Amino acid sequence: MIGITSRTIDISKMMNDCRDESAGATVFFSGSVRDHNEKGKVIGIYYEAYVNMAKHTLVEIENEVLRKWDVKKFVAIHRIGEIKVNEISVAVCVSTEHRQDAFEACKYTIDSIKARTPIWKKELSESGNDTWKNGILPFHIERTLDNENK
Amino acid sequence: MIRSKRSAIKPLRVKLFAMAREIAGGKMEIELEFERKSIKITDIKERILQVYPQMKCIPFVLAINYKIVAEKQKRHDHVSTSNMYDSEITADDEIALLPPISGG
Repeated sequence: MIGITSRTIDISKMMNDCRDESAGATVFFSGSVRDHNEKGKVIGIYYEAYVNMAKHTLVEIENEVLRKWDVKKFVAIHRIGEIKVNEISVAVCVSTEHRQDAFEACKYTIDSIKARTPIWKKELSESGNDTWKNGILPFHIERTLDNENK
Repeated sequence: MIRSKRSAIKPLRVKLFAMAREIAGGKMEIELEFERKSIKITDIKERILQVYPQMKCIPFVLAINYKIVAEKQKRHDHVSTSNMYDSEITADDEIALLPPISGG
């Protein structure tokens, strides 16, 4: 299951949605808004997405994960809009039979989200000097990760 | 005569996001008029830079129907999810200009 939402991410629900009787391991990752960047204090982040493409990309990532690992349950949600410090902006939860697969699948998911999902963040500062975060051009990392695993 | 011919061709619409949208004065979408119905990616990029020269300040890629189209010379480090680089794009395609992403 994947999602793009402007609401608070409900991590209890995500963990619950990942419960599976055949799973012995569940790995949960969340990314949250830090109170600072290299220039100083940050009071929040505004996230913008190309929503339809972002959903499309998340489905692609989910399908890759299901193909690569024996995943029992998968949930990945990214929040958009204005998010305050300490609030969760992105969360991934994966359950598998054994822990190694869950760790690997969860890492692959968040790395892929950051590498190719069309979402942008603008850091909001107290001074009002808000700036778009320097990012990377979106690319497809599947081949790179496959090479790493060889 | 030429004018009526041109107006019969639907303009290409390009979605803009983040810093690219701000460069275009806050427009969510821009329209590009061409004299042909089918346009190459390079022509679209060239036209965007003609209309908004400030876009040269930010690297960007285009997405066509949700697929990122990487430039040929960058394929060694940006693996394209689309083979549309040499394809003809029409007004029926969904085109988006993607500046560097920073989700997560």
